[in-house]
Amino acid sequence: MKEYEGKIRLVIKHYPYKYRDFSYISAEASLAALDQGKFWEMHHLLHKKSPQLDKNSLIKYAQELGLDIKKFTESLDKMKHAKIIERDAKLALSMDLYSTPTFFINGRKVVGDVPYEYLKKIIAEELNAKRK
Amino acid sequence: MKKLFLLFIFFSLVSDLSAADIRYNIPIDDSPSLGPKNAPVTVIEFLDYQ
Repeated sequence: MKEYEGKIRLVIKHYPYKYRDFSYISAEASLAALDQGKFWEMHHLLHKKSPQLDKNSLIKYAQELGLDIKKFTESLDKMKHAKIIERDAKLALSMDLYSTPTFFINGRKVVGDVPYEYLKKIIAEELNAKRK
Repeated sequence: MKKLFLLFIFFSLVSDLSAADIRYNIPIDDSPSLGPKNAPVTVIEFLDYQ
């Protein structure tokens, strides 16, 4: 990402798989961190620590990032961001997406855990197309 | 024969369209994002942390 500074906008949509135990609560955790200005920090931590994403672990990660734990826990318990997560999931379903990650690079769909090189290739194509 | 040829052209056009040129228009709404709004490339990632 860093090599593309200023040229790329990255947008995250949540699509928690409903039959995995901690998918949903992790999405909630990332958005609870967003409320406290630490979305990307939490986002990276969740990637790093996956699949250890039970509630106690999530609270531990929030502590590591120096978040307000009371507010954070409340978010998890009340599923404060259910609307956003469900909106994203509904959007994914409406496009017949069934696997994660799925990327849309200027709208071009790339499904699955493809090599980073492949994503870079498409990004380069898009940057070239814009230059013309 | 000519009909067959036209049919062939038709299907090769259709398959081309479905393969590479579809661009999905996805609403960004208030989803978390990094980078300038007017960046030449926008990457939208649907993810599951687990």
